Amino acid sequence: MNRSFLLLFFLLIIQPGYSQQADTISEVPSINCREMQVLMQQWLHSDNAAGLAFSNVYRGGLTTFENFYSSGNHHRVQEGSALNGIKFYSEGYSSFNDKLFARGHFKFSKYIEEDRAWSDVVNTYNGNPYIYGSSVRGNYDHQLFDLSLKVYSAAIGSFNYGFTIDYQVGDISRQRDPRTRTYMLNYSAIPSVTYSISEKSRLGLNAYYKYGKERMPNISTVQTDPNLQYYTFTGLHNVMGRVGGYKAFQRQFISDAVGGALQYNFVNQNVKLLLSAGGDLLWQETLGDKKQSPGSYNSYGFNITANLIHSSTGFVHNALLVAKYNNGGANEFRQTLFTERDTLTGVSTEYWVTDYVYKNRYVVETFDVQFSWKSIALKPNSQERKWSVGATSAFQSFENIYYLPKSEYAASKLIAGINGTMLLLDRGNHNLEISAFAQGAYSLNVLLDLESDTEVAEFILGPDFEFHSRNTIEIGGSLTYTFPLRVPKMNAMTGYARLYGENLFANKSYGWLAFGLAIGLLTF
Amino acid sequence: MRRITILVFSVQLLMLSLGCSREEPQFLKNLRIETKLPQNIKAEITYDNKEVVLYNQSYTHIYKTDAAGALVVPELIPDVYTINTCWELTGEQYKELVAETIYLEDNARVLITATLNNVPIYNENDLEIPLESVILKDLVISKVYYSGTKDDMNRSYVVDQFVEVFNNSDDIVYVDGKYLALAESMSPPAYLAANNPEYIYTRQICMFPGDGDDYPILPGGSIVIAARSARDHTTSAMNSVDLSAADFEVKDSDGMGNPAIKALPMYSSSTSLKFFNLITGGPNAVFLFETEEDVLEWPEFYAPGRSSGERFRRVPIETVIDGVEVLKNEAANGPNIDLKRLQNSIDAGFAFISATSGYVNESVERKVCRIGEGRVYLQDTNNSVEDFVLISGPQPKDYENPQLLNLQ
Repeated sequence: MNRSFLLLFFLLIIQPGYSQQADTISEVPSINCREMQVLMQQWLHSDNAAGLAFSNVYRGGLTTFENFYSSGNHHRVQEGSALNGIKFYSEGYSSFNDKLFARGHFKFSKYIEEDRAWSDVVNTYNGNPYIYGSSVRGNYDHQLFDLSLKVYSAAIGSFNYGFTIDYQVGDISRQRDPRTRTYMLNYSAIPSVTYSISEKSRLGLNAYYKYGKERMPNISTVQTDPNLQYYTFTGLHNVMGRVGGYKAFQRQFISDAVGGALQYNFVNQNVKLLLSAGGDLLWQETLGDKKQSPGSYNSYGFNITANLIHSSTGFVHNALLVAKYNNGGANEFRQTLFTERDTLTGVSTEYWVTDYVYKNRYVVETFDVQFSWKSIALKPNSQERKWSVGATSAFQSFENIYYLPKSEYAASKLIAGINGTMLLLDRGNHNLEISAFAQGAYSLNVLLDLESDTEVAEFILGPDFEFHSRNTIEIGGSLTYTFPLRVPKMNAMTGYARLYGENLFANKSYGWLAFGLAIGLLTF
Repeated sequence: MRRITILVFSVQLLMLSLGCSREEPQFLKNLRIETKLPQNIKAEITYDNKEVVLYNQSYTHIYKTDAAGALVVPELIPDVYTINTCWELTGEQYKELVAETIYLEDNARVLITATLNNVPIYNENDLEIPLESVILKDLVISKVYYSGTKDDMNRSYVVDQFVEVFNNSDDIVYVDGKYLALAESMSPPAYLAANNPEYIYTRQICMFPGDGDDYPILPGGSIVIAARSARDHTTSAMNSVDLSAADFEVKDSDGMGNPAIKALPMYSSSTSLKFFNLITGGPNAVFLFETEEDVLEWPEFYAPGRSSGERFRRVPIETVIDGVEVLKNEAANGPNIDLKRLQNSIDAGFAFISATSGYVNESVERKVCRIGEGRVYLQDTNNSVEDFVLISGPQPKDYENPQLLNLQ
C-alpha cells in the first residue's frame, strides 16, 4: 500500500499529467500565475476536497528544495536553540479523466534541532501532559514524510464529491545520552461533498477520521553514568525524576480523532466568499511498560474560516479570517500493579489496574484568531501579480491549569504586521520579485501561579514565563528570481531561486534569526 | 470493544463540548480518622493531642487528634497515603497506662505507634488507625551500604558493602550469639510481610561468635560488619570505603580474607555463598535477632509453588531486635511498598537509594536524634522513612555527618 501510494505521488509530480486545463497562453509555465490561481482556490482553506472543482489551476507540478537555518536565544526551554536542515516539497494537479481530478503533495524535511532538553516527544505544548525527557541538553535529528492526496469529481448533477487521504510518518532521534527515538505515524481520511444550490451558492460538508500513534520503545545509553536522571511529567510543574529512570522506560500515545465541517460558498462576477465552520473531538491513550498508564487525554475544538476575494479592474483583494479554539483535558490515573502466578506452569503475569481517576486534573485551552488582508495589483491584461500590500493581525492565548491543588499558567499576545511584494524586474519570463514584512507581537498577559516549587518550576516554567513576557519585533524579506528552463525533448519549465532572511528582536537582547535558500521548478 | 469505547467517549465529548465546561476534580471534605489504642491500655486513656501525619511522594499533611483521639481532615486530595503516628513513652509511663502488670525497666523506651502504608483514600469513609505498642531494643542497625560504587576504571565495584550495628542504649551490649540476617529477595517475591505477619523468611543468617562477653558494644558505640571483604577499598576505588578496621568480616573462618578481622561465618544460607549477599540495587531487608532456640531446627521452605531451588529459613518476628527494610528503587515507579519483607512492628517504613541498580556510592543511614553525655543517640521510631537518610559517600562509624543530624 505504501509503495503504491508513493508511486502515485511521483507520477503526479514528475510526469506531465492531464490536468484540469493546459496553460495555452505562456510558452513556459508561470509561477506568479500559479500562485494567483492557488489564491483563488478558496476551498484549499477547508478540508473539503470536493470544492476544488470550482476553481482551476493550470496543470503542472511545483517542486522546491530548500536549505534553512535558524538560531537564537528567544525560544522556550523545551525547544532547541538552532534548527538546521533541508526541506523538499512537491505538489501537482492532475486528472484521471475528464470527470475525476487530483491534487497531491509530498513533503520531506530533515533537520537537526540543537541543544534541546526536557522533552522527547513530538508535541510538547498545550496537549497531552504525560510527556518525558532528560534535563541534559542534546541535539535531536528530525525526519518527517508528509503525503496528501485530494481526489475530486466534476459535477454529478448538483453534487461534487471529494476524498482526501493524509499520511505522515516521522521520527525524532536524540543524539546524546539518554538516547531516545520517537516514532510518529498519523493518517487521516476525509470524505467530502458539495451541493450547488444555484449558480452562485454552494453548500459543503466534510467529515474526517484521524489516527495517530507516537511511540518511544526504549532508551539506550553509550556511557554508564550512574547519576543520570530521567523525568516523567504529569502536568504543569508536576514531574518525577529518577536516577536510572530511563531503564525499562517506554511510552506510546495512541489517538483517534473525528471531526467535520460545514461550508458555504458564494460566487459572483467580482466576489467570492467561503465560510467554513467545523469541530473535532480527540481521544488519546498513554501507555507504558506492561500497559501502565499515567492517564488519558481528550480534547474538543472548533474552527471558523472566512475567506473573501474581491476582484476589480486590475486588482484582487483578499481578506482571510481563521479562528481556532481547543479545549483539552487529561484524566490522571492511580494504578496498582498486580502479579498473578500460575502455580502449575510457573508463569507470572503482571498487569496494572486503575484504582482511581482524577477527571480533568489537567486542563488546557488555546484560542487563536488570525486576520489578514491583502490587495494585489495585477499586470495589465494579466492575472499575474505586479505588486501587493497587506496587513496581518492575530490574537493568541493559552491557559494550562492543574487541579488538586490548583496551579495555573497562561499567556496571551497580540500580533500585528504589514507586508508587501513588488516586481523589480519583469522581462518576459525573467522576473525578480522582492517581498518584505514587519510584524510586532505585544504580550498582553502572562500568569504563572504554582502551588509548589519543583525542578520544572525553576528550570522550565520560570524561563518560559520570561519568554512569553517579551514583546517582539520581526522583520524579514526575500528575493525571488524566476527564469525559463528549456531542456531538449522536454516540456518547457520555469525555475526559481529564492533567498530569504528574517530576524526577530525581543526585549533584553533576545532574538531569533532565520535564513534560507530555496530552488525549484514548475513544470507543465 | 475499543471502537465502542471511542464511540461512547466521542458522544460524551460532544455533549461536553456543547456544554463548554469540564467537571473539575474535587477535594475530599471532612474525612474522619479515629485511633484505636491497644487492648491492654486502660479504657479511660485516649490518644489525644497527638500528631498524625498523612504523606505520600507529593504532599505531607500533619494533624493533631482531639480529646477523643480522633481528627477530622477538612480537605484532602484523594490519593494513596501513608498514615503515621507515634507516641513515645518511658517504661515507667507506659506501665501507668496499661491495665495489666508488666515487667519492664522504667527507663525503657516504648512507642505506641501505627503506620498504615499505601492506604487508598479516594472517598470520605471514616478511617480507623489501630495502634500497637512497640518496646524498643538496645541494638539498632545504623548503616547499610549496599550500592557499591565505580572503581578508578569506571567499572562496577561491589565488594565494599557493609552493615553497621549501633548500641543505642546506656548499657554495654554483647553481640555474642546474636544473629545478623538477610530476608529473601526473590523476584517475583516469595514471602511478603503482608502475607506472613508472624515470620520472616531468610536467605542468609550469620551468627556472631563468642561465649557471651567476648564482643561488647559500648553505649554509643558500633560494630562494622564487612559483607564481603574487610580491607581498604579506597586503593581500588577512590570513592569507596576503608573497611580494614572492620569488627567482623563475613567469611567461613578466622585467617581467611583479612586475617586481622574476626570471622562472622554464615550459619544458614539458601545458597552456597559465603559472603553477605547484599544486592546492589536492593531489595535488602536486614535484621538482627536473638534466640535461645537452635536456629538450625527452624524449618526451611521453598518459594511458594516450587519444589526445588532455594530454601528459606523461617524466623519468628518476636525474636527480632531490629531491622531495616531496604527496597529497590524501580525505574518506572520507585520503591514498591507492597514488596516489604519486614512487618510493620519491625520497620513500618522503608529506605532506598537514588539509583535503580546501584554503583552510586550511597548508603542508608540512621539519623542522630540527640547528642548527650558525650555520645549520640540515634533516631528510632520504628519507621525507616523517618529514621533513615540517604548518604552519599558513606563512612563507617561516622556519626558527625551533617546529613545525619536531626536534633530535636
